[in-house]
Amino acid sequence: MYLLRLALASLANRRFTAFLTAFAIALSVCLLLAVERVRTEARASFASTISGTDLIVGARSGSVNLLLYSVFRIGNATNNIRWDSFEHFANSKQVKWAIPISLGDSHRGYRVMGTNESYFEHYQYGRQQPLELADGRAFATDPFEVVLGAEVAQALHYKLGDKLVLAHGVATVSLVKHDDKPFTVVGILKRTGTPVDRTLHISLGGMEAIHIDWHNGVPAQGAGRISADQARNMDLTPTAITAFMLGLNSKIATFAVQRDINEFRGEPMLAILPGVALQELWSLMGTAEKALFVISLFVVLTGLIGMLTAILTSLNERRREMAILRSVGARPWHIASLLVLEAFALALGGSVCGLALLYIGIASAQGYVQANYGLYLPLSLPSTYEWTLLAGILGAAVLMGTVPAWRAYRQSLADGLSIRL
Amino acid sequence: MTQALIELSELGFSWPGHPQLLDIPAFHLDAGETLFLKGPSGSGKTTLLGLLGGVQRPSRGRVRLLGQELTQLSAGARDRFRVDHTGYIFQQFNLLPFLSVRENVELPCRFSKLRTQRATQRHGSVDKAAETLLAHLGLKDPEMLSRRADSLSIGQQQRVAAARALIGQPELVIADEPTSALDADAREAFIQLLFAECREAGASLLFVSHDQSLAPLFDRNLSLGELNRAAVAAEV
Repeated sequence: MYLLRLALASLANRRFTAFLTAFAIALSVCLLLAVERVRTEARASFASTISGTDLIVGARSGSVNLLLYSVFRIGNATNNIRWDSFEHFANSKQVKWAIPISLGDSHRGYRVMGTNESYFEHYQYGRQQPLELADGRAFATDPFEVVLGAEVAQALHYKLGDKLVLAHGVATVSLVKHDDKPFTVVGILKRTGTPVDRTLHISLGGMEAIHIDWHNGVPAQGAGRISADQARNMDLTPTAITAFMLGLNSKIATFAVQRDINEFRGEPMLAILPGVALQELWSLMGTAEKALFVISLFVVLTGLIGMLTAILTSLNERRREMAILRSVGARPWHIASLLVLEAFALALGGSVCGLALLYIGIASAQGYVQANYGLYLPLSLPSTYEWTLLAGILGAAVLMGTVPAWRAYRQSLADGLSIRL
Repeated sequence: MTQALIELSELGFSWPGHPQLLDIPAFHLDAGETLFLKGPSGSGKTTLLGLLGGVQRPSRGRVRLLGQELTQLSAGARDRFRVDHTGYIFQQFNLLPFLSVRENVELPCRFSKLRTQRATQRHGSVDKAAETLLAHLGLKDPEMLSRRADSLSIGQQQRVAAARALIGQPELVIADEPTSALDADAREAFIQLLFAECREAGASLLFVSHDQSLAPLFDRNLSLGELNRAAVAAEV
């Protein structure tokens, strides 16, 4: 133990270099742990984007594409499906509930989704958590009512009763607006950490109403226009929707229903299992995530090599220190352990500071990250895996410490008790 | 007849690939004796001290310390034997600058059980031993004990080094030019203190220096040049 005291005192004597070295290690450790934590949380939040849904159905395309536009609001559907096809399956005996989805419009960069009340009733995310309203109510019979996701409301400062205009298409800069038919905010959802937060929800009737006087993708002009009040009195049952989600009475029936849908004669459709598609999508993104992890491992390695350099350069000017220690009875292995201890102390100090930095960082960025990336970073104790990483770093530092230790061992054998000035 | 503390016979040493540096037919230092060994730089003085400390091994011949043949001990045992029985004072910068004065003095006890034991026997505790020795050497201020070693003047540092060499009563104190950084007055005062403490501890003193003016103070004085046949041969 006295050796540890000596190692620490010697380090304290070189506190500036020691501090810089430990700080470099701290930064690299912080980076590694942050990447690791974001990675874990991203995966978890990704997997919990949707739950409780047995099948997602859309026009025939790829399963990842269908998942992306129906759940993540990324990309577009290749085709619509007919309303009667939806009704056909929604009324099937095996189906417990069905949520129709109609996409294609946006509001200031946020996607608009047309759906019906069963969405608020049956849609689940995370660990089978249903959607909850933070304020107001779900849309009702009036077609021009909108329920906002938490982030939309927060970012655009909307409150209940505000009026907003939807834009046609999903581009951030919209040229064509549905400004003749404004919507009223009637409800705001609680935060979910999923794409729901970034969505504006309107009824299918509303979606139909804003497009009722459109022909071939352009609004009617002059006398052809239909006002909001006129639209209210018209039949707003849609003729087509983009996709739908199904909850089944029995999980066992999932594959049978999936086959029925895929072989449906009415029109070409695709039914996917959300879990399987999520897996598929994650395996695509997993490469980037692994690359990030490997990069941060290399950053840690760089930090440790910095430490090795600092210790090695200090060796020469510390020959006297070693010789004095030898003259008072320190054996060469004492000198060697002194250097290994020094490396260990630097890495330990660095890791502790790195952890502290991580927690300070999480505490200060938590709100921002959640609001902007929908990622909740918990201020929890390090996981077993994170402890393993830290132990690995300390192990690597000790291993690196053996290099200067070996040199000092040789040096102290050669120098003996006195060094020539 | 007193038992010889150091006994060299037919000692020869050369660094690999170099001509013979030391060739000492016989040399001895008695228990309690103070010996002045004159050695100009480059005379093999440092190497001789290395041999006495068991850091280097002779090419031939014997090095006996307290009757123990050093060459027969393993490297680790030589290290232990050295710290148990020898205290060192060097020219300058003897102390670890980042430790306190007290910790510097107590260093040998950290590595030698025997010296801890002796210090405790004689003074009650290692701390007490350090305080007593420092007080004898004129460092009485208790506040000074906790100061960093490099905050002391050179003269004070050398006295701390002497206290460190003497703690736990080693049989032999080896001083390698300990006074070269001191001025003439301080030099003699330092040596008198060192003598007094060595006498009190019953230690022999081997004092190596090139400063002939100090020689009369010692029981005996020798010149390494005369002792060493290799040096004579080189001069001829």
